[in-house]
Amino acid sequence: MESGTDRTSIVGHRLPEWFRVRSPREILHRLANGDPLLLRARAGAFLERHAYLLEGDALFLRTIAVIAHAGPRCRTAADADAWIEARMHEAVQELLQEPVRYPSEGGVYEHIGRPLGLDPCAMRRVAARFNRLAEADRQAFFGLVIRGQRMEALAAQLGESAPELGRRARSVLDLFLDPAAALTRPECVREL
Amino acid sequence: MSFEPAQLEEELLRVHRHAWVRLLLQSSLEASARSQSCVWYPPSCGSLEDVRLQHEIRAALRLAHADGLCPPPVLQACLHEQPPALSLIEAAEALLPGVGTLFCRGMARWSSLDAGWGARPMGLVGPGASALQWLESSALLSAREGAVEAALRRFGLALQTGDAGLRIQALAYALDAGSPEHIARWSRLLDGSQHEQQLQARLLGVLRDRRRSRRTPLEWLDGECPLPARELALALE
Repeated sequence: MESGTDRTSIVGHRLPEWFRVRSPREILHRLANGDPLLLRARAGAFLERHAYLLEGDALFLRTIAVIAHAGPRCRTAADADAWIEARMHEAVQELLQEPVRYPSEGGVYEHIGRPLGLDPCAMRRVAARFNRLAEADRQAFFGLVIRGQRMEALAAQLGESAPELGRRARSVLDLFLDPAAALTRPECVREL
Repeated sequence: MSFEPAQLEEELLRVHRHAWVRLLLQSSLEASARSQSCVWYPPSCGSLEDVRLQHEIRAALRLAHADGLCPPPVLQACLHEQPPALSLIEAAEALLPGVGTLFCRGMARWSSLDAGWGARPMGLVGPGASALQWLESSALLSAREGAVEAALRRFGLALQTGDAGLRIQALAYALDAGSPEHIARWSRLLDGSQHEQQLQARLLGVLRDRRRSRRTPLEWLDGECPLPARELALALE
């Protein structure tokens, strides 16, 4: 019997082989118990890297379910990291298609919404719109407003001119400061 | 943060649904590329969960359309609730057990409103045929073509709609097919319907017929037949 915290039990195997002898449900419970693939940390890094405003726990939970579902059909032995990254992309896309749910207290929405004068629920609605913007727009806002990076440094990092970066960040900021945007449902997103 | 087992199960179910929607979308796209009227949007079936599922599918379709992924004819057909292609029902059932039943219930309901549509995509039965007849015809066609597993799957979907006549057809087919595992499978399905007098009477007829032609496998009669012993003895006299 594998220990729930024994990471080497998975890392020591090739992923396809590890998945092959397990059902999706087994894989799911194994990944949830002890996080042997370090998916919680990967989820946080993924959200920051791609500038998404989603709860890390939500992405972690969805990712382990997506991996559990896809695992038995996994054939890519060479690059496990790339395979996991692709599953994380799937997980984010699924979450973005789903209804807006009430955020958990003290979560990312409260943290980000408070300085903007948005309660967590309004923040969640705005975030649903934000997450559907082009990544370049998200990166501009994320870098300048959330990370507090300097304009020039961020422009150089993203390969854009400073004015263009500022324009992008400003257009996104309008989304956050527009009360109507916080009250209306994003297109194609329902509330449970 | 740890997750409750029920929460994990729910999450896995959501992933299954997304995978199902993606598969159906892909199939619809491929079908559209072949210029076939192969669409799959499930008609309304009543329960809250059914409705929610349909909303999810509809939302996914609209998103796909907005992204330029869904050709207009397919989207239009989906939004107008045309019948699903049978292969897609089967694919959906494989991914998410129970969804096939959902489709069949919806098809049966819609066939009563618009008799004949179920037959059109398959070209198997004439105008006025019900969705059940559509499934049955498709199953029989598969059987004639030697696609035993496909026939059984289609019979299985039809059986879940609760039609006694189709159960008999399935049993008769299973007896003809003759393999013990097929017979055992259908016998288990029939087992819940012993109370249906009409079903029993028709089944007895099938049994007598098979007995006369020496086609009833004895092992099934000994171990799996759902009929009461007395009825069975009478049938075999």
